[in-house]
Amino acid sequence: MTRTFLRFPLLLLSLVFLLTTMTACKEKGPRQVVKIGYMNCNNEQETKHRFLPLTRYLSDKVGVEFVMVPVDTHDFEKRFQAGEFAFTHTNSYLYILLRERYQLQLLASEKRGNFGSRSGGAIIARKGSGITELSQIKGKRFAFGPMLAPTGYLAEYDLMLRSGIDPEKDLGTYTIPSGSFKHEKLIYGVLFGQYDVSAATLLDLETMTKEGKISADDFTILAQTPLIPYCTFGAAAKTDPSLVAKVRKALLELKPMDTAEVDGENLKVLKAAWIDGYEELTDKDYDPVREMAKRVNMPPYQKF
Amino acid sequence: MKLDRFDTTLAVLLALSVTGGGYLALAALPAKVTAIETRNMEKELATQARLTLLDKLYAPVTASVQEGNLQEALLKLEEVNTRYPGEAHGYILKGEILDRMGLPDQAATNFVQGIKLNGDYIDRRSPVTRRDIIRKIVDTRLDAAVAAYRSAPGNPTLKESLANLNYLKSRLAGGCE
Repeated sequence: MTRTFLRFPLLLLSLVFLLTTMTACKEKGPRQVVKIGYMNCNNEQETKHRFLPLTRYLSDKVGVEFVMVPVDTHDFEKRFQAGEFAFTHTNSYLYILLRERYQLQLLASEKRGNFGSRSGGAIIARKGSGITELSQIKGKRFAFGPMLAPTGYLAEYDLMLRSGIDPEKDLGTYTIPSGSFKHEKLIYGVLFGQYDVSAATLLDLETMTKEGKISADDFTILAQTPLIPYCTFGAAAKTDPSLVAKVRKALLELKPMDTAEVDGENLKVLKAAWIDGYEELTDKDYDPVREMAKRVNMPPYQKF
Repeated sequence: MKLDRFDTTLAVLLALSVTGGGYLALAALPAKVTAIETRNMEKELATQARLTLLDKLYAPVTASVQEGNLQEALLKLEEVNTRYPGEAHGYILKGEILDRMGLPDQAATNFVQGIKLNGDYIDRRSPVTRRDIIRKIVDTRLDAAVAAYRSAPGNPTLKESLANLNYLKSRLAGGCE
């Protein structure tokens, strides 16, 4: 009688135990590995330093193992096409390139500096150089930022064309500094007289002023470009939609006090990445970048 | 009851003490008013000194704004902000510059920060009041911000923009922090 009485509760207990064990095993199993390609802004070391905490944060929030892949700007399209990574962190120009050619999905846009998720470029000369108007840059030594930089090259090139200055014909010479930290080299190049005039991203001018590297009185801003979206997170077209939604949500919810563990140390994710947060823009918000690329005759709209 | 000489002397001394105490109390009253006046003057002096200091500190920024060099003004503001981070006037000036650049939402964000630090900027009697420009932003942006938020309620940026405008609206209406 007692044995029959105990049989049912024992069976139930065994089932509960079995289910608990199975759930635990599932949680302890290896997590799905997903790669994020991060475009190098200045160099690989800096990219790792900035974005490893963000990658760890996304892993914690989304529940998959994200791996960061620092990628040289010029290799980005080739490596993305080869399927090396499912998620992308690029500038807005690379975003439209990958969007047009591979239907990259827009996830979130980075906020940083005075203008939030947008930034612009400027054309600068050293104060006291005698160059005070944009029209005076004709015949001068000019320096652009990296060729795929939307606010260090594209926007300024477009600005000149719209102002009736053809960089190919009207400038004395133009160059792009070599090596890493090209954006800073432009600004220092003008300050120390290597170039007469240069392109400069507003964000770099702002950051370098804040850090005391330059003074606002060192330069004359000859012209300023329209503000356009800045760094952007994207996802490959065939990425699992639920994973895309989770990553987007995690990015948009990111707050200044959120931390992630790197080498046993809890780091503030946004502070480490030098950003203020993420914003949800629409693909249409990137149309000004497309228009610039068309006018400058750059891929994916290039015509021969 | 018959009063003797001792009682009379005591009564006279008591009357003298009460009269003296009253005189002293009256004498003390004007001195107190003087202290209040002094405090008011000190407050006024502090306000004037702050205004003079702000004018001096932010003069390069204001000059660039007046010349129409708004980006240069923002850079000069960054320089001042590195020396005086968290100063309300810096946020207010940045809000004004961003509004002139056609960026009312970013302007509103800065006005909110400035007003949270110092309510004088929303007080209509204050010499530093910025009520007019703040009211203009609220009046022109609020409806659009409500519509944008309703169309995408899950978007935290739109939510924040709307919250900023509502905060400014409540402060304009006299609400406290």
